[in-house]
Amino acid sequence: MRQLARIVAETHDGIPVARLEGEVDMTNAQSLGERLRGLLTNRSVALVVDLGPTTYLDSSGITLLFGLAQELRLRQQRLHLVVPEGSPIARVITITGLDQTAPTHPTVERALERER
Amino acid sequence: MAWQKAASLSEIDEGGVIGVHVGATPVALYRLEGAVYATHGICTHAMAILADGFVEDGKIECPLHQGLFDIRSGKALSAPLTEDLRTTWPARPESLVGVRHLLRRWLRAHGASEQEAYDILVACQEACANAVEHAYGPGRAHFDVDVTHRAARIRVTVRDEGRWREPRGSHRGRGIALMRSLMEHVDVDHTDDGTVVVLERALTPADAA
Repeated sequence: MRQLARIVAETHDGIPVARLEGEVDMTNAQSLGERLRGLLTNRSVALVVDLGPTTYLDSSGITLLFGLAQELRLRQQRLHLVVPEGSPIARVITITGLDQTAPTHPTVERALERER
Repeated sequence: MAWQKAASLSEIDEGGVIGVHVGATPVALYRLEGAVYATHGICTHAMAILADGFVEDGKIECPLHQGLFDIRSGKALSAPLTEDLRTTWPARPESLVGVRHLLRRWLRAHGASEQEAYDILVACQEACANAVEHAYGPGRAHFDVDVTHRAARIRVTVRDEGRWREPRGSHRGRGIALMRSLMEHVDVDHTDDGTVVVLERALTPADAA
């Protein structure tokens, strides 16, 4: 059974990296947002959200990520999104212009390079 | 009937399925949590080899029309998805995941590519989310999702009996815009009796994709 999303968090060189595994919809977007915000400290310069293992993302997830990007910007922090090439969710991210608000990268490694 | 060797245990991966013949009978062998199960090798619906199907969660999904069988009991859990889809759901956010999974399987059974299925899924969910979020006060709380496949076009109809409310805030506004970008044709018709959202999109033939 394909499951609603869970977050697997790691830290790379002081930067939190959150793998969003599974599906994001209106039932879980809000709690995922709280989990993601909880990964940030005042000393974090950036947050990387890995959408590679995300199997579904609709406007509730897009809205969550827009909001997160905005909040981080106000705190002089940056949100990076990892969207692998050929991922079906890439189209939704482009159509909504989310990629104009939060830079997207094909791999976590490439996202982290931008903060080094 | 005497014992016959069908296969070695090592040939079946955990959670996997292989097709073998026992005499002239095609058999599908499965390994689930260490135990081995066997079913007839051919789907009960049409000439499809079950061993080419997809094992998930103790179930085998037929590769041709996505009929679903319980591996342990052999019970048919879901009819082949060849027909038009006509479904009714409680107007609750929890319904969305059910709509999504059924529609994904149905679309794939009707030849939609992964990207096409995904796009249609997102658009349909926006319409369903509207039914759930906006259409209802207290009272009747269901919505219908019907899907047809005619002349290489997918048509999704989401119908509720509540009153449509114009999207508020950027979230639902974004959802509607998304719906319009992902589909070729979007029609929202709201009357005193309820709201009908019709979404249409052509599928690319598999050999052209």
